[in-house]
Amino acid sequence: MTESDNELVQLCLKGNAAAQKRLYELFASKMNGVCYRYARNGENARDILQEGFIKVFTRLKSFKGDGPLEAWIRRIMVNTALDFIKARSKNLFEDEEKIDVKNHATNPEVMNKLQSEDLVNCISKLPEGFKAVFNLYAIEGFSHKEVGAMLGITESTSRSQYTRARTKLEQIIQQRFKVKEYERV
Amino acid sequence: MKEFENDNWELKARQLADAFQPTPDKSVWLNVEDALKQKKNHRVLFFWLFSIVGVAVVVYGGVTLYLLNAGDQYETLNKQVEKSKVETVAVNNNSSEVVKTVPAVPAQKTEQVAAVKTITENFPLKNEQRKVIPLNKQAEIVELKTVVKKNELEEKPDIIVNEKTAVLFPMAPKPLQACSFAFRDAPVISFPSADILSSNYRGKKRRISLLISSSYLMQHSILNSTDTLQSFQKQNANYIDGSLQLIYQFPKAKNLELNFGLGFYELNQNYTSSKVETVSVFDTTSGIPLVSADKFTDYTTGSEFSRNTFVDFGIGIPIIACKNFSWNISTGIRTEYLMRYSASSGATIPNTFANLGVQNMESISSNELNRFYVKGMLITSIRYSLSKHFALQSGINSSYAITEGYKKSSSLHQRDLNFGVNAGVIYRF
Repeated sequence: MTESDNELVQLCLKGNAAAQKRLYELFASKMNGVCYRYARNGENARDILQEGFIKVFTRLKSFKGDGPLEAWIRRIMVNTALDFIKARSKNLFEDEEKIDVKNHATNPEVMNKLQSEDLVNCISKLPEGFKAVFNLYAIEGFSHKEVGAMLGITESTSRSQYTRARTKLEQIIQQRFKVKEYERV
Repeated sequence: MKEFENDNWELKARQLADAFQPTPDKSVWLNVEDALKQKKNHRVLFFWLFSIVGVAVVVYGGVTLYLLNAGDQYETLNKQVEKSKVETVAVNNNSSEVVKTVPAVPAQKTEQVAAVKTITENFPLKNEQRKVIPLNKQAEIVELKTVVKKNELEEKPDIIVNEKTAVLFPMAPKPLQACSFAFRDAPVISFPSADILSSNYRGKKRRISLLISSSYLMQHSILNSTDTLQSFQKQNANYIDGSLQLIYQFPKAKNLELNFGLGFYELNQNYTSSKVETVSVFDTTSGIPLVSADKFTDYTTGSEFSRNTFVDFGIGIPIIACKNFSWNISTGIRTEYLMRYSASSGATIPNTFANLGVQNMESISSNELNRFYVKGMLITSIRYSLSKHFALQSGINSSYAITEGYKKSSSLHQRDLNFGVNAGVIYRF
């Protein structure tokens, strides 16, 4: 944690409204991106972000300062997003379509041309379970064991779900890229 | 955390995802800020709420204990009975035989006989249960004597007196205080269920209020007896009660209110009662009545005193709100607990057999002590807002006893109707 982060946290703990706003402005955009990846739409993302920041401010006392503040806030956002998803769908992996995992090929060219907004839009099109596993493993960097614990599934399930999620995402990206190319032509 | 694999696809995906940082809507921060303020306010609110409720409970408990141990206005009949006991003795030519043991009035209180404790469980006794004096001994009965013995109760029912009795007296109800509020800056007029809260104080804030109120009420008691030989009447009585009510207003239910209250009152009520009974003395052997006569008992100036505590649960709604005024209606249930009861009778038992066989009368006190009963209430009131925090309330109360005034085994049943006015002060947190 940087010196300025520490000061900011201390001021927030004292109930300084200006410091709270500064902390919010510092991380709001980044965390909004995180929320978008888990949410179904913009409205859901807004709800998760709002709920997440309320948790951040009310639990700031528990922040020990032994790691970056951003990582701590991100973890809260991810947990809030997962709670949000779980509350909405009881079984995350219930209605997932069958995907032929062998039949996926990534075109490196596509990935190079892909914009960040495109990727997030594609991720948002994934089924809830795939979305959660993909975000947690590929983007947040959790291990399959950790992902399994967070989602209440086994490590092997997490692994297989991730493979299927990635395949599905690549299909969506390829499809989107083709559409874009077609529109350009 | 896993070691991030050197997977170009994943790395690229992660970079792209991290690069996506859209600016959130302005409303997000406003909502976060508002939520943080509310949490702070809630902490303060809960502190004061629990403080006030805690103090109220302590005061209520203290007053209850005090009232439970405070002296009675009248000496209870049970106490009167305990002070002395009377034996009525029938004497024949050969020996003096104890006929009956009955509670009686001490010499100095012979003019205040109110009730005499029954000595038989099965009342009235059936003919075959009576022990009678043999026919050939009837002539031997020459006189009746009354012997007073303190602290001694004997039962030698060689002669049982048949008697129909039960003199009992009921209790009083009370009102409830109404609920909703019309605080300053309320909307001009709305009907039928107005949001009477100030527009500055809408939402989750300031939904809890405290009402301190007092009511002046008249009690009308309706008495019925299954015993046709008895008749009872109670005069209307006025009394004042005081209560503390906690009121919660639902933010999303058109200001529907719930209230919970605690209170006390005392009641003095005069009664008149009379009964006609047949008193007989039977021969133990033959079963033929030796002496038999109608006994007419008339209590003309009796009075009873009760001290009650009550718990209210109510629901209310504002009907009309206009500027600082609101008109509210509420209904609820009051559970009353009779803490203390005492009664006195101002008349003697005008019967020559009084000392012989007035033993089946139930004690008034035994029916009245420590009894719960429930009343339904309807209150309409007008509230005037003085400020954001204070309002005055005045209204009309009515209540009707849902449960009977006496225990089921009693021949006497009482329902109470109460009607009166209330006034109080509301503090809104």
